[in-house]
Amino acid sequence: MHDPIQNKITFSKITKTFGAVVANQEVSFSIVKGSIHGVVGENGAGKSTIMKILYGMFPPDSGEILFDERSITLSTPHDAIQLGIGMVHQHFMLVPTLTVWENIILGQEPTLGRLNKAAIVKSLEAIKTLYGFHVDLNARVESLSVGHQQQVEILKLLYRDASILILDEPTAVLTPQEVDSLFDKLRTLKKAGKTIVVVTHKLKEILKFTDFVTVMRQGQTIETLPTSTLTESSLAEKIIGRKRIPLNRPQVLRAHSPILSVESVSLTCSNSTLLKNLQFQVFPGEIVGLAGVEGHGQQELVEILARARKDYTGKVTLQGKDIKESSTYELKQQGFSLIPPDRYREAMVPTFSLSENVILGHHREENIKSGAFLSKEKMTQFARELIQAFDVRPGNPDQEMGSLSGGNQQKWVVARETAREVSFLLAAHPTRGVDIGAIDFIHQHLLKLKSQGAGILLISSELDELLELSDRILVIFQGEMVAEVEKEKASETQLGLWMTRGHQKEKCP
Amino acid sequence: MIDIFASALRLATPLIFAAMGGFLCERSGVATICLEAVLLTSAWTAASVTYFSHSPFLGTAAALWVGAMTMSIHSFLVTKTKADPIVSGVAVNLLALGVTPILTKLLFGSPTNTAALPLSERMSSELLLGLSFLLPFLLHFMVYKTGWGLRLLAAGDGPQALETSGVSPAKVRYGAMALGGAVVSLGGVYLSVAHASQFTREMAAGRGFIALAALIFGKWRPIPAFLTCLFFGLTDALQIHFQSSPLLGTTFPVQALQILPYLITLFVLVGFIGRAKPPLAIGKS
Repeated sequence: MHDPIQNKITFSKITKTFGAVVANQEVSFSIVKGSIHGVVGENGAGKSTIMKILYGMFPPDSGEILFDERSITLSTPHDAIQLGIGMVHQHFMLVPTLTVWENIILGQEPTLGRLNKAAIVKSLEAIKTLYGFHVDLNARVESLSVGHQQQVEILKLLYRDASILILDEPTAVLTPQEVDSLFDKLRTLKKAGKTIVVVTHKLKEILKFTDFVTVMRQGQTIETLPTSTLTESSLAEKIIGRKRIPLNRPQVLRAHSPILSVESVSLTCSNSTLLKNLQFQVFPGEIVGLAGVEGHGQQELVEILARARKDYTGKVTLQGKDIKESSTYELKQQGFSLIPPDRYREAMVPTFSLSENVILGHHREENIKSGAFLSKEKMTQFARELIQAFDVRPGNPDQEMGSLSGGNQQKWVVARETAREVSFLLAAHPTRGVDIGAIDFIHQHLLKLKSQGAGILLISSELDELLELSDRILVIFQGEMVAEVEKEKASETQLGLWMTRGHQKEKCP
Repeated sequence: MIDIFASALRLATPLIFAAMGGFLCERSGVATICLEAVLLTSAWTAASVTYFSHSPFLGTAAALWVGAMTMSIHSFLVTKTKADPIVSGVAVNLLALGVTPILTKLLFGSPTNTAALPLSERMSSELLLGLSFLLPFLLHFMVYKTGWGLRLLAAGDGPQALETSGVSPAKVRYGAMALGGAVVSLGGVYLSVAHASQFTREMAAGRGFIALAALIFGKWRPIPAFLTCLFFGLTDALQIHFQSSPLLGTTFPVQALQILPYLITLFVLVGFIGRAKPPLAIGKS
């Protein structure tokens, strides 16, 4: 930091617009070579854009990038690769049907003549040993776990001899253990002299693993500073530009009878067990967290509770009544609400307006009808009130929902699902792909519902979220409930272990 | 008996060329239902150029070029203008169906056929037949063992991955489709100047589609597709044999054999004989 331009990659007043949207406005900061540099900000703060500019995917409208003291022009990824810049995209760029070694050499291979597989594999093995990677070079990429696919992406960059590695949201899909192992590897790479730029919105990782942090907000760089000078709350404040509202977890006495009761629910589908003897209850005024790596039965559980599938054995009751015996409409009347896991596909109609989306499933209610017909006026009025209550922007009831940001879409889903009296809320990944401001808002809202006596089942892959909100945490592994802990006794490490390796059943209460 | 097998080989040859060309095109990630069009334009070109130049080799060279260009219309529409590949394929098929009789009428006076070639100016059937037996193995090597092939497969199964690796999938597709078009053209050449001695209207007679069926049945792999073409050739030969066979006479419904290739393809697509998985980029724009 003391040496002004030497040994640095410097962005100088980079501006990039897409139509009327300013993605980056005079972005200026430096990355010290040989360090791990974090770039943080909310969704839409312009982090990914500036990184894609560095990787040559978008040319900037104005401003320049300096390498040491030299100004460079990057107009295609090919230029960036030539300069030793490599990028691991948030959505992996791998060919699923090809093998690992084929994916790694893609684009670098001689086009004429037979590929010398033996020599390629030998040089890749050397790279693997040098940096401590463990991945089978002959495996097909589609058969690998996400963590291993990410290793392939990083190996791809190392094979290209990249000295600057950009990782866009590398931990979004990883378990806590995989995150640790990823950053171990990144540290090894740093020791070998590589520069690593990590784009993320996860504050803990930034604080734990980076040397410097650049904070971005609304397309601008706010500050670049050494990580050691920051705390989680000071960093969060810089990101959202205001103080965070502290969460206030109300204590609610447990009622005697559960609102939701799941009794020995099992689900098998063509000989594979998807859910195995699930047994748990949710009481009014309680948030029960369900932790687990994605794909371990959460989706199926959501489908069962939402009455989307009925091919299970066992029984699910809401307020003592078997949900198989009620229609979805009757469940809603009982105060059942659902925030589905896939917002875009399951929770909204992107081409419908806000006011149309907010009455989905509630169109029979009297407050939006005049006589037998829907009243546009009343719908708009209803939507206006909710827009104000939930601070949804832009707040035009006639705007298409698909044009809103992820955070505002999600707030709108929450608004719809909780506008009426809620007795039980199934919240599946309620803050996925949502910025910190909206996360805070949704968290506050869930706690408010809890204090009003609603029972909430919170499914999330973010352990932070579960630990912050839940009263009890259940862990699901391969369709089986492997652990249950009170919030006070839960630790992130222990949960992470249960999520990946299961747990001795007899220890569960 | 030997007659039937010889006839099966003759009938399979154009199918093999069409299927192998189709293999290159589809593997690059573009759905290609216009093999029929390429067969027609190349067959027409081969017959006409040979007739005027008296050189079957010049005719063949011209046919290869025209076939590559016909396919390039398709790849241009799909890659550059982002047309739907099925719509574009239908358009190119209809274009070839219309253009060839018009040109025939302009040059030869009748829209139904070009002038017949003397035997000495015809292309050797055996040469093309031999080539059609080598080609699948050559393509297998080129696509699965070389760097060029790796890029072709990546263009079909993960174009974004290819692009971020610094290689343009569009360029890979243009190249593969032009080459594929040229390969299909050999089938057209076979039809008009080796197997027959002139171009006749609609002479491809659905072979482009049967080749496509063979490609699907072979699960988009060259050697299985090649074997399927041989099998389809055999069913065709049997059908012709039974038509004139005194043994079965008119009582045997030859249509039963004629529909066999289509029936088999349907079975494959429905998933009875192992699922056929097309290149991943096909069907996505």
